Order: sequence, then structure tokens, then C-alpha cells
Amino acid sequence: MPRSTEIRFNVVHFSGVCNNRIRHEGPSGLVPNYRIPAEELSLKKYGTHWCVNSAAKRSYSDASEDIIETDEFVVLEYSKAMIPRHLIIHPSSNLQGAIIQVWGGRRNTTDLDKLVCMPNGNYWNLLWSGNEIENFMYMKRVIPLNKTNYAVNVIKIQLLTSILPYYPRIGNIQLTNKKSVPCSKRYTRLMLQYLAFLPKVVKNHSDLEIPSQTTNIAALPTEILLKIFQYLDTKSLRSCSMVNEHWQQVANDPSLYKYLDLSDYWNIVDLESLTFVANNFNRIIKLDLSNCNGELIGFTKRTNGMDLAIQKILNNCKHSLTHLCLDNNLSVTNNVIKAITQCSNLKELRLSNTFSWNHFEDVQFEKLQTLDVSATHIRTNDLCNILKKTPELLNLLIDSNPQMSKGFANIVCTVTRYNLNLICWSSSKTFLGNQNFQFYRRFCLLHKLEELNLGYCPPTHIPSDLFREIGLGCPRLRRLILAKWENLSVESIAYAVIHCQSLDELDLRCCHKLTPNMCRAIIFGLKKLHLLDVTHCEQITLEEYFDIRLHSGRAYVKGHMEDPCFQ
Amino acid sequence: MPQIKLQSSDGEVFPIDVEIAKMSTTLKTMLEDLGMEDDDDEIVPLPNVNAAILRKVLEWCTAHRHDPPIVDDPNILDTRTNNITCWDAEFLKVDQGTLFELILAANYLDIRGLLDVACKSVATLISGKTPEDIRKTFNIKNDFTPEEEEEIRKENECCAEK
Repeated sequence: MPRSTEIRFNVVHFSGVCNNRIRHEGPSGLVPNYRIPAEELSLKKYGTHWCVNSAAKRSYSDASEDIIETDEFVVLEYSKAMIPRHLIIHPSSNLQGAIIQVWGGRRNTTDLDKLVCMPNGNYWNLLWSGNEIENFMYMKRVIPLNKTNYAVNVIKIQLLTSILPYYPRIGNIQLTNKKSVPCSKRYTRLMLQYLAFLPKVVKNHSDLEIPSQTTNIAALPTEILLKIFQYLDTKSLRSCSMVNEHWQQVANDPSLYKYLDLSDYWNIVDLESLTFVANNFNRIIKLDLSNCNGELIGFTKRTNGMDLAIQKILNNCKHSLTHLCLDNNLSVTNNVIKAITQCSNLKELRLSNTFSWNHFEDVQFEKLQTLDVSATHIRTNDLCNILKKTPELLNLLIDSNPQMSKGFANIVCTVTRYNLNLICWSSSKTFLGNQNFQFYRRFCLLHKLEELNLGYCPPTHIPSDLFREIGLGCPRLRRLILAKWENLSVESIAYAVIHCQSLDELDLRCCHKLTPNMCRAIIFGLKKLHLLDVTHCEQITLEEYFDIRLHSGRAYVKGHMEDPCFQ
Repeated sequence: MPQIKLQSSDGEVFPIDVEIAKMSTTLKTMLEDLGMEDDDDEIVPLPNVNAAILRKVLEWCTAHRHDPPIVDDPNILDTRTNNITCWDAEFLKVDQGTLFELILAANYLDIRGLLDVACKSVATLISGKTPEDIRKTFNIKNDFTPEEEEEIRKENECCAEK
């Protein structure tokens, strides 16, 4: 799936006092996790190794080294602007207090609250200056960054501890922008100026060189100019369109507006900007309008007419669109869904957390590879009809759809009959359990399966040979999530160990029958295992947990209620 | 190693390996179409490229002769500008005139890799600048009348104004 890699590559430059490398971490380590909220980034240092590539990934070790020391700073440079809203601090141990400052920077920003001039002449805006944090051992702290509702490309995080008489240690800092703080009108305007469609005139031209009078850019033929413009973002393109007549013509070429991702700017995308998109762009290939619910909203209010604008965009681009993402978008109504069904070239469709629709009919998505309808009101029959017509489906995400519980067996049967290429199945919290559990065996028909997420949908009884069949049927299975399978028996685990040899990540959160010895057996038996999550397993005491962790070798054992690193 | 001779617009002759010449799709097609033999003493004239630029182009081709061919995938349109290698970045530290001539030469000779990286380099010069900055950077004349400019500004402002 393209998304997780995109997130990983989003940080384009990194520097810090330690001059180390950075590692992105989702909720479950480095293994691609499709539920990572976009733009969530955590900094975690493993001794002197910041891990970023797969080779380095194998070298991370015990959490006792996960320390960002005093007065260190890290600077992150993003390939595109993000709006950080929360700072989450995971203390490692013995944290007494710290002052944390977060700086967001961009050159020549002159109109924001507080400015600091860096030695190299760049300006930094202070996003948040932390108060002294006292005694929050073993707890993570979520700090809202109230001033940060504007997009920044560069962020600096500094721990100002030299003025404190003691030395705090901080395990992990996370910047996230997922949970929204409704932002003020003023910041909306600032954002609008930043994003977009209005380049601000800067008077200072000192850094611009006057070119020599040789070959001018005007000598380049139009197709080359077009090629150069391909590498520009929307904002720069708007600038180009104001340079002169020729450039205006070229910069308005619809072929340039192929990828449009407005999810980062959700809080300023309003009816007018969508209408602008609808009127101007007709060859969009990838469209991401996640979270774009209208102006200045929480998560409930919807601006009237947004759905019509989205509908119009979809109608204009129905032949070109291959990737469409409308997560968390309350403007997705039945009419929008109807427009989506006309987009016959879709390869990726994401509609998670959209509730304003209930019909999904006459679908012709022959090329669909990714379907995400988590937390929606989609009807089981509609879903099955889609599944029957999408032979190329690779990823299916239907998490948190409790209304499907009754038809769950039906969905499993449909998938295992029509979608044999499936790589990822995720149905966490969808199946609430009933007497009939035999259909779980059918997963062994999906021979290409790599990820199986059945968290929080335990069958009432687990046949002892279930994982034997799944292990034999799905030789590529790398990621298995069985959270809350409370009655997971000893035999089942033993079979999982023997037969799912490709497992890289095993999530057994809240499996109360899991014993320390079973943990050891799993780590011993699964040679490729990198992550074992045993959070909230009642039978594993803190001592046992640390003992397992100490002897776990290559595998990282994660989570215990009393473990300071428990998230 | 078989060689061919290229002649720049100002008359200088460059003997180069055929393998390197074939990085240019234009030359490759020509060599294949004409069925030129290895020991032909024929000189290929390139009337659109001067010696200084041709030398630069050949320098790039020599450094990149082992690159895998670029395959176009319409689904993965490379729009990033941050993946220019150090060598290329150093190579492209030239004045604007040379950069544009390199682009023209790469376009004429159809050397895809060089064209891509040089265009990216120009894009980084444009990125983030205001229209006035762009005009100054590239010495472009503003041919809009004040009224037209106002109109375009309004058009672009449509989303900003409430």
C-alpha cells in the first residue's frame, strides 16, 4: 500500500545535536501499519541508532536507551507542510521536569506572533513554549499546541533543561495533527495565504541573482516548461501563472493538476476552494479530501453544498481518477457515493469514518485494489456486491463496522471466493462473535495474505487446528493481530508458532490466557518475529515481562500496564 | 570499444564510445537506422549543440552510463525534487544560461535522465517564489497590463477572500 511509505518519506531532512538518524514509529513499530494516522511522527532514539531503513530496523534494542538527552534538539524538515496540533511526550524514566519548546519554521515569515532569528538568517516561529512538567512518571503527556494551526515545513523541538537543577529524560516525543483543535478565523486566513491560491508579495529581493544575458528561460519550448512545472506544488504554480501571459497559459494546463492532496489543509478547505477545484481541474488522478468538512468545524458540522462541489469534482474527473481518499469527510453523501460509482478506473478508495451515506449500488470497480470502508454504515449486501466485482482487490479494511457482525461470515465467504489476491484483511472490532466460527478457516484460501487483523473479533470457541490451516494456507502471513482473543488456548498458540513461520509481528493484546512461558515459546518458535505485543495480558507480571524482554533477542516485546513505555 | 565522432556546432570533434552515445535516444536511433559500422570514419554533426555544452553533456553521460533505463509508469509520476543526487547537484551548479542550454541539448539529443534532473533543478529555482521574484530570477518581462494583472490576482484570490 502506498500510504505508509509516503508517510515514511515525508521527512526529507533531519538534523540534530546528536547528528543521528530518525525513525518513524507507528503504533506497532516499523512494520507497515495501515492505521497510522497520516503525519503522526514520533522521535525515538535507540542509543546512537536512529533507525530509518530496513537494515537498521533490525538493530533496535532495549528501551532503556530510548533517551533524548537534555538540551538536545532535533529539526525535521518536511516535504510538505503539516499542521502539528499535539505534542505527546513519553517519559522514559525518572522524569522530574522539562521545558520543551517547539519551533515551526519557514523562511521570511514576518507576520506571526513571535519570531526568533536563527544564526543562518532563517526565522522560526515559536509554536509552543512548554511549562515545567512535574512528576509525570509512567504517563504520557498530550499537550495541545494551541498556537500551531498553521502549516509549517520545518519543526524544531528543543528541551530546555539547562535552567533546571535536574536532568529529565524523555523517551519519545510525538507530533501529531490528527485530533483537531478548531482554529480561529485569523489563523484560517494565515493558512489560506500560506497554502495557496494567493502568493504573498515579499519586498525583499536581496537573495535573488540577476542572470547573465545568455540563453533565457524564454528559449525553452513549451513542453519543457510544462515538464519543469510538473515538479512544482500548487502554490508555486499559482505564482507561475501570474508571471506573464505565456506562463499563465502553461501553468493553467490541466495536466499539471493531477495529484491534489488537501487533507493537510482540512481546516481551510471550504466551499469556495472546492468550487475552484471543480471549475479548474478535470484530470485529477489522485484526490485526497480527507477531513475536509467545511470551514472552521469540529467534527459535526457540515457546510452545505460541499457535497455538491465534491460531486462536481468527481464527475469532472471520473475517467482520470485512480486514487480517491475521503476519510473523515462528512460531506460524503449518497449523491457523492453515486458520483464515486461512476469513477470506473479507481484503484484505491478510502471512505473510513464517513457516516452520511448508506447506499452503494451499481458498482463497476474492476481495477480496485484498495477498499477502506472502516467505520461506515455500509450494508453487508452492498459490500459483497462490490467484492464480487473486484477481482484485483489487494487490501480490504472494514474495521469498526459492528453492524456487519451478522453478515460477517457472508463477507468472509465472498472474499475467499472472489478476491483470492487479497494481501491485507483488516476487520478489527467488526465481528462481535456468535456461535458459528467455522468460517474463520476460510482465510486459509487466501494464499497471498500478508496481513490478517482479527483484533477484537474473537470467536466463542477456537478450534485447535485453526492456525495450522491458516499457517499452511497463507505462507506469506507477516502480520497477525489477535487482540482480545481472550480464550486463545495453549494449543492454538503452539500451532501458530509452528505454522506461521513468516510472522514478523504478532499482536496479542488483552489475551488473558497468555502465560509467560507461552510468550517464550512464541519468541523461540517464530524465527522471523520482530514485534510481540503483550499489552494488558493479565498473567504476565512486570517481573516476568522484563525477564522475557531481556531474553527476547531479536524480537521486541512491547507493552505492559506498568511498563513506562506502555502507550 | 567501438567509437563514433560527434561534431559540435562550432566545429570541435569529440570521439566517444558508442555505448555512451547510445544514452542519447536520438543518436541511438540514428546509429541503428543508418546501420553505421564501428570503423566508419563518419562524423556526426550536431548543429544545435556547441562544444562547451556538448562537453558537459558527455561528462554527464559518462558518469551515468551504468544507470538503469528510465521506465515510465503513469501511476508513479515522479514529482519530487528532493531526490537529486549529490553528483548531479554538483554537476548542475552552473549559471542559468548553461542550465537552459543543457536542457535544450538534452531535449534535442533525447537524454531522458539528464533532462529530468535539469528540469528538477529549474523547478527548485521557481519553487516557493512570488511572481515578482520569479520574473527577477529569470529576467522575464511582465507583459500583463495592470488591469489584467489585477484580474488574475482576483482570480487567484477567489479562495482566500471571504
